[in-house]
Order: sequence, then structure tokens, then C-alpha cells
Amino acid sequence: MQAAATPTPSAGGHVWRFLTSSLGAKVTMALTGLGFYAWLCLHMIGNLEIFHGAHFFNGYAHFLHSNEAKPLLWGSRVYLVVVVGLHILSGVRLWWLNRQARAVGYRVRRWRAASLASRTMIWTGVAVAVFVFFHLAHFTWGWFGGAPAIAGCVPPADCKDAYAMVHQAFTNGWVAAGYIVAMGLIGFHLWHAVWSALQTLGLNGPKWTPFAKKLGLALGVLLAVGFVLVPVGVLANFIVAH
Amino acid sequence: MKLDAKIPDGPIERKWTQHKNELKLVNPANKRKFNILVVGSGLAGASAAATLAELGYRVDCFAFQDSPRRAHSIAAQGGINAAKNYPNDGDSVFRLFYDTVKGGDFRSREANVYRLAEVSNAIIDQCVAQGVPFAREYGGTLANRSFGGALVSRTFYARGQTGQQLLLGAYSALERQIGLGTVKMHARHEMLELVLVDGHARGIVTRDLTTGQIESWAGDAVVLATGGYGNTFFLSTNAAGCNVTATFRAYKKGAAFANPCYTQIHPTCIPVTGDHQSKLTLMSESLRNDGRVWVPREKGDKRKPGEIPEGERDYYLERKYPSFGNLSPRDIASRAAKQVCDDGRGVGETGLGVYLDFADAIQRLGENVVRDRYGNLFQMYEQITGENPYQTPMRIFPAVHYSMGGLWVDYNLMSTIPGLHVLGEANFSDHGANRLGASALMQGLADGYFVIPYTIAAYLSSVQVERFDPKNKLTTDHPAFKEAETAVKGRIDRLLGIEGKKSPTAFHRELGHILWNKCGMARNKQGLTEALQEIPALREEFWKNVNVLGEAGTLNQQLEKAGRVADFLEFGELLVRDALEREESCGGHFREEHQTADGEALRDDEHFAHVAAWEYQGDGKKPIRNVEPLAFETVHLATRSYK
Amino acid sequence: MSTQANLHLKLHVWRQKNASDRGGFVEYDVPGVSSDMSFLEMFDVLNERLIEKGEEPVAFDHDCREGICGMCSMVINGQPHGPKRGVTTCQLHMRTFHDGQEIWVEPFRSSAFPVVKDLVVDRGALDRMVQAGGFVSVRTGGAPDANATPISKVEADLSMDAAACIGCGACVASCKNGSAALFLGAQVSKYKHLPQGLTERHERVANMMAQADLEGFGACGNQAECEAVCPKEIPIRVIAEMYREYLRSTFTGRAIGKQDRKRT
Repeated sequence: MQAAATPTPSAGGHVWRFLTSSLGAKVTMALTGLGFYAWLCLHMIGNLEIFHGAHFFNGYAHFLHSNEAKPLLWGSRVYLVVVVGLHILSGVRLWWLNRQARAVGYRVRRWRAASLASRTMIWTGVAVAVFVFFHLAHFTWGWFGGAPAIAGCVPPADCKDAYAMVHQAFTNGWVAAGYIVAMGLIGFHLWHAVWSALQTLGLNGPKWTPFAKKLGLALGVLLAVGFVLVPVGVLANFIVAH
Repeated sequence: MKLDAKIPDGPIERKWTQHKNELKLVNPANKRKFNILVVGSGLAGASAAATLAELGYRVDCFAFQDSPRRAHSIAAQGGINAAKNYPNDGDSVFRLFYDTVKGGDFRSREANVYRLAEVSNAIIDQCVAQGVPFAREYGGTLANRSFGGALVSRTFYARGQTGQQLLLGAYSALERQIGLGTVKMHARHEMLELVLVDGHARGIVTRDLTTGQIESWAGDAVVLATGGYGNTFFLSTNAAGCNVTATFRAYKKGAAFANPCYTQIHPTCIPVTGDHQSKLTLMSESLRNDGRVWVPREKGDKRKPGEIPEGERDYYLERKYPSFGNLSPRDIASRAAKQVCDDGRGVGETGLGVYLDFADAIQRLGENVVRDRYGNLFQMYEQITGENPYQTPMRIFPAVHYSMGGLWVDYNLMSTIPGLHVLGEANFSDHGANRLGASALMQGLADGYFVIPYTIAAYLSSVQVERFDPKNKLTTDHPAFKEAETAVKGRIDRLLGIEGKKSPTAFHRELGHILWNKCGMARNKQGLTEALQEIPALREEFWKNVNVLGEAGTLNQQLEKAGRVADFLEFGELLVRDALEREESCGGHFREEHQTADGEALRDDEHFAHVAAWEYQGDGKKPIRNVEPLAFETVHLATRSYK
Repeated sequence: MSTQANLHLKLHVWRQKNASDRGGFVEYDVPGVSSDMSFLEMFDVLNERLIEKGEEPVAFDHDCREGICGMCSMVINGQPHGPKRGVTTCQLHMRTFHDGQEIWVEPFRSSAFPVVKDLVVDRGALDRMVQAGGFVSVRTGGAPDANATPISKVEADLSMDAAACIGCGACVASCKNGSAALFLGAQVSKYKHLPQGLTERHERVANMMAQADLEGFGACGNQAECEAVCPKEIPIRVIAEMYREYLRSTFTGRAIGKQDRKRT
């Protein structure tokens, strides 16, 4: 038996050593995940404005693209790139580390506690990332045709009809189904993610932990349902063309 | 052979202090030049290796398991004694000493036992400082419980896992030194030979159990802490790997083996279920604090325990030993169980069992309190037997547990081979003919933490001038090592070359049968004489008909087993011979010819108040029985009574 | 009284000559297994029969056979230490299985636990993590009276819950990520609840976790599979405690390891 190898001398101090450790990656996952969740909640609330009608919704969309909101918009974009980027980087790094740590699997495997959600985090994560890419292409970059112009609107005013774009998109059953499935996956991801993040941050207790697990489920469902209301609303004719 | 115990002069309570004051010291700069080989990493070995390394010696530590934490000390359940007198029930160093000498049936060495009692308190302090989570009272102070053979509560415990927690304490100290590079740990290395140079223990030969490599290690002193030989009986509470090889190899190199017939049969084990059984499981003696032992009053009463009314039960320990009752010492409780079973009143399918009943305790304390105290033991019982001890009484039967005998050592824990020190269960010194509960952990740690670190200096300082002379530098190129390696390899090749029909385990089981039937809880001349015929015959068959498969140059568990069984087959004979020649009953050694009218052990202090230390004379020759007389100056010889 | 029965089993056992051998499953037909046997005793019987036939017996680690030494391992039908909760393989009795059952037996799998032979793996990595910090740095002698520092029973019990770890490595074997977090957490938690352990709390957790990364253990995914298979039922509470200790050690700026200090 060999004596313990000396831990790698810290290049740049203990915070750097922490960040480059596997636990550092986990804490990064937890914090960025929670950060992304918080942003998604705001996004979801914004989406739900659509139920207030076309005028209100377009007004909200136009505000986001106005000069006053520019710092907000760009701040939020930078925030997202950093948070999501770190989340993906850490996630992939951990996945790679963990794959190496368990290079050989078992012929027979029976799980006692590990839920399906917890075992598939990397795959639900990848699926959500792919979805986010298409979502951006769809609504932000307008690869599949951008927003139509509001009838009677005269530039230089913002004439993009965000309401019509959303409505049009979800009248296509396939697109709506794609979004609904993706939201389901996000909820599923969150089911394990929320309590896992809290545990990673050291929050654990005999009363707290069962609560945190339920909280994870509740927050996952909340977000998924919130987002799904829009395509469902279109399909169910709650949201109609104007 | 001259046995000089080197007991210091002076009154008993001053001997150790005075001895420490007079012991030679080794200069710190010189300590670094000494290399000590510690074989075994249980309580005694790990604590010794760690402490010696802290002092500055260079230490190599060897264990046959994959980690020092696996040593069988880990299985001790009940607790560790110390004379702290925290419960204020009148305990003292003297009382602990007295109880231990009396418990050992006046066959231990007074001075050693007094020292053990004296350092017992420091052990508890040390363990607490290491972070051993002993049980505590709500006020934050340490909790105590009582144990067999004592009328005070002096046993410290950590649930039912005291041995584990103490071993992990010693293990953590050892691992710390390994991390610091002062101890080199050699796990999965089995010592197969002791190497003597100019009559001094100067090294060992090991087999790397993973690669099969035979290696030599040279040192300035060898410390054996390799445990007991209970597994000679095949079925015992010892771990499957426990063996006598290291101490027996030392015996064959000239170390005297003392009192091999003193084996402890523990009264509370789970009864045997069938031939497939590989080991016996102990239920901690602490259970006897609250459990009541009984059998039916009538022979052959096959009713379920719950159907037998109170008046038709025989609480035989309470009846025979009213003052100690269920807390009678182990040898007495075991023999009493054997008597009622011989009488045809045993319980269970085999009739080899007695009840240990918690109904009263559950009624008095409530199930929750009982669960809090013994939960893990009850759970373990249920796992093994499939019966729920909260509802039906446990069935227990005695089983081989501990060996009080071991290599002879003097007051400095040095054997008759200069430089060879022996600690813990592997030596013979502290428990006489019977060990009291919660004393094994105490002895292992006392030897390792608080005795050997001082006394080894006595030897090292006596040889340092000569050792530090460069022309005396010893390496493993010395012919003594080559010779020992050749012997080891020869034995391995011989075992692999027999290609017989029977597995090593089959021979081991047969040896166990012979010993249990003829040299077990009760022994007589006729049986012992027969065993002395049967064991050599079995040994002869072994060397003709054992089947050891596989190769020498790889992990080969059958080869390991065969080597150990080969030594058991020789050692078993020595054990029986010792039992035959000790014409008295004392402690764990009960000779049927020597008993009182009411079946109690009858000691013969006139002829046998001594240690029998066997000296090897060569294969096939009868070993010489040397004698170290035991003087009882402080505790006067008396008939041991727990009535 | 237990009702003893005879079982006829079909075993698929992982056989691997040595670390570099590829290894594979070998099927054994095992009749006449008593339900009173432990799983390891069933292997003893199998091995005795193999020896009779002149085949090399299956190598497996075992020692105390009463569930405390942590030596026995084996993944039985996809679960470390088999299908029963709170027991080690040596305490698993054959009455848990039914007649005619097929049983797959595999070694503990983790890159940090290389297979030595058949079902025997090398768990030295666990010891090396302890060497990195799993101790209180006290020398023998000079300890204050054991009752000098009162310790609340609650804290002592929490410490003991963690200290019950037997170092078997089932947590690692069960973990999809091959993480040793439960083992490490147990070492950290055991000392965290005792005043004696607090002196070195920062160095301990930082050094032990750094060693875990060096050994090639994976990162905990909070799946709690380890807690469910742990024969001593150590809760994942200890993992959260370890995280707290690590965060504290990092952000209070005192996590400079002892070994580093010695070198600088």
C-alpha cells in the first residue's frame, strides 16, 4: 500500500483549488442551476402576459427591446451566457469525471433509491440544451421566419407582432408538442435538481430534506406547467389570433 | 531455558513507576536509526506502531488483511474496562487489579496485571482525545455499564461496537503516521517466518498475498501483535483469517509458548446450525446485564419457551451463584451451560443451547430502552437466526472466543528471544486462566500505547552500541534471510505439490472436532491422551492428502489457508499436551478429574501455581515444559467464589 | 425455530485471473444450499465442491463474518451486499433467496477499486483518504481527563452514527458515479460533532476531498443510492455536513492543507 499522495499544491490559493475540485464543479452546478431557474421563472411570468391579450403582450415585448430596457436585456443575456455556460461546462466535466470513475458497469443492476430523474440528469440536461438552441433559433433569431408586422404600424416604431408569432407557432401541433415535451423534461430535470442543489450547498436536516425533495417536485411542476400553459392555451383556443 | 520475568522490586503500586524511571532511554537522534517491524495492526499492533513512530522510530507494519482497520479487534462489542470510578461506586486501580487476578483464577502475573489496571485510565483519556465517540450521559460525561466478574460499573462503551471504535482510534493514529511517512504499511502481507541473527530477532519473511512474492525485512526489533489462536478449534468467534502462524513460527524459532491450554469459551454465542457453519457469532456479554439465563427444569421439555411457566424454569446461574447471578464470569457461565445441556435440559433442535431471556427487562424498562441498549445485537441475532428476540428468548451456547495463553513475555513484553516483543492477545501475561469481559481491549491498548513504547527502549539501548557500528549493518542479504526464504518457499512448494483429495478446510474442521470434543469446555486425561494420538495422525494425512489448487505467484486463498491449517495441526498438539500436563482445573481449563463435590473447578495451587512455558525441541520431539512460578504477594490465593 | 429448507441455485460468478485479465461470468449449478447458510457459507460450499473437481475456487474477500470488519464485498443481483437492507454479505442468509433462483455475483466496480482477482478488489484508496486527514493529531500520552470536556449526548450520538462506517466501499460500488462521498462524509461528520475534531476541521475536509479527486473517485450526484445500500445505514446527512465543512473551510480562508504548509 502506498502512502497518501500529497494533494496537488495549490496553484493560486484555496478558492482556486476549490473551484477546480470536483466539489467546486458541483457547487457551480448548484448555484448556476438555481440562477437559471430564477431567470426562467421571470421568463415564464413574462410569457403568461400573453393571456392579457395581444396589445399588452406586444407592449411588453416592445418594452424589452426598447432603449430604456437595453441594459436590462443585455445584462440578462450576459447573465444567461455565464450561468448557462458554467452550468453546461461543469455538468459535462462532472459527467466525464464520473464516467471515468465508473468505467466498468454491472451486468445486473437494481436501484434502491436513485430515481430515474437523478440517473438521467446529463441526458435531460442535453435535451434541454438542444431545445434551448432551437427555441432561440425559433423566437429570437427568427430562423423559421420572424415575427409578422402589426397591421397599421409605421416604423420607426417597433412593429414586430410577438403575439402573432407565438400564436402562429403553436397552432402547429408538432411545434406545440415539441415545446410541451421539452417543458416536461425541464420539470423532470428540476425534480432532482432542486433538492440536489440544496444538498450540495450543505442544506440537509431531518425535517428540511423531505421538504426539499417535495419542493423540488413542486418547483419543477410549477415551471413546466407555467410554460406549457401558452402552447396549451393556443391549442385550446384560449389564445386566439387577433 | 531460564525464564526471568524481570519483575521490578518494590511494592506493587510502585513497580511500574519505578521501572519507568529506571528504564534506559534512547536518544532521539538514535531512534531514527532503529527500524522496528510490527506484525499485526489490531488494537495492540496499530497503537504500538503509531506510538513508536511518534517517538521517532522507523516502523514497518504488516497485516494480512487489505487494511489495518479490518483486524479482528474490530469485532469486540461490549466495552473496555478502566478504573476511573466515574460512577462513584467504589472502584479503584486496586479493585480492577484484584478483580482481574481473581477473574484469572490466580494464574496471571500480579505485577503485569497491576500495571494493566494502572494504565487503564490513561487509555480512556487517550481514546477520547482521539475522538472515539464513547457513550455519554445527558450531562455530557462518559457513561459506564457493568460486565461479568465485577460488582462495579467500570466498562466504557460505544454502543455495541466498542472494539470497532477503539480500533478506528488506533487506526487513525496509525494512518496519520503512514501519511507522514514514518510508518510504512504493508497490507496483504502475511508473516511466514521469523529471522534470527546471532540469537536475536532481526527480521521476518513475508508473502505478499496479492503477488505471491516472498520478501525479507530486516529490523532491530520485531513486535508481534498477531492475536490469538482460537481458530485452532475451527469454529470460534474469531474472524476467518485469525491464525497462529506468526506466533507459532516464533515458537519454532525458540520463543517459549506459555499456557496454550488456557482458551476461553464464551458463554453467549449463537448455537451451531449445521456442518456448513464457518464461524460462531458472539452476542456481547453485556446482554447478561439485562437478560436472564434459563433452561426448563425437566429433561426433554420440548415446549416452546413461552409455554413453560415460571415455576418450571431453572434460572440456574441465579440459583447457583446468587451474588453474581447472570453476571458470573465467562468460564463459570459456560461450564454451567454445558452442565445443564449434558443433563439433557438444553434447548433448540440440537439440545445444545440455553435461553437468554429479555422478557423481564422489556417489562421493567420498556422495549425502547432495551432497543436503545442492545438494538444492534438484537438485529444481528435476528438476521442470523430468523427469530425475533423481543418476542422469543435468544438461544445461546458457549463457543471458543479468546486465548489467554500465548508467547511467554517478561515484564518488558519481550519473549525468550531477545528483540522479539509480543503484545495483546498474542502474549500470555495478563489474564491468567480466564479473561474477564472488557479486558481484552484494555490489554491490547495498554500494551501498544503505554507499555511497549517505554520497554522496547530497554532492549534497544542494550544493543545500540553494537548495532550502530557500520560493520554490523544488517541487510536482507544475510544468509539467515536467504535460509528463511528458502524454508518458506519449500513449504509452499510442498503444499502445492501434494495434490491430494481433501481441502485444507476439511482438515481444519476435523482438527476442530477433535479439540472441541476432547479439549473443550471440559477435559479429561483419557480424551486428551486420545487427542494426542489423533492430531499427529491427522497431520500426517494432511501432508499426504491435502489438495491445494492454484499457483504460488498470485492471490491464492487456498494456499494461505493451507499454510495456516498446517500450523494449527502442530499447535493443536501443543495445546492438548499442555492441557494434559496441567493436572488441575482453573479458569477456562477444566479437568474433570479435578472438581469439587458440587462440580466447581478445583485448583491445585501447591503444584500448579505457575506458568507453563513450552520450549520447542524439533519436529517429532516432545517440547520441554519450563515453569515460571507465580508469586501472589498482594492478592492472596483463595478459592474463587461467585456464590 | 427457523424453518430450514434446501435451495437449488444457479450462480453466475465473475471470474478474473488477475488485474490484467479481461474476466467474464462463469455459471455454476449449486444444489443443496441450506437456507440457514450465510451467503459466504454458500460460497464456501461451492468452493469445496470446486476443489473436489480440481477447479480453482472463487477468490472473495471476507474475514470477521459478523458484519463489522468491512472486508466482504460482492455485488449480488445488482446490489452491493445483496438484496437485504442494513447487512453485509456475510450477514446475508440464504433464506432471503428462493429455490431455483438465478444469482449474478460481481465484484465491487469502481476505477479506484481495481479488481485483484475474481471478486477481490483493492480498496486501498479508502485508507489513503484517511491518511490525508481522517484523524485527530494527538500523540499518545498527555491527554486530559476523559471527562474534562463534556460532550452532549446528542452530538456524541451523531458522531457515532457516522463512526459506525466499516469502510467496506459499498457506497462507492453502488454509486452510478463511483463517488466515495458517503465514506468521506462519514469520516468528516464523525469528527465534526466532537470538540476534539474541530481543531483540524478545515485541513481535514480539504485534504481528504483533494485526495478523493486524486484517487479517481467520481462526484456525488445526490442520488442517495449509497445510503440505501450502506450496511450500517449511514445517512447522506453526513455528505451535506462534509459540503458545509468544505465550504466553510474554503471561504473562511483557512483551508491551507497541513502538507502544503509543511512544504512551504
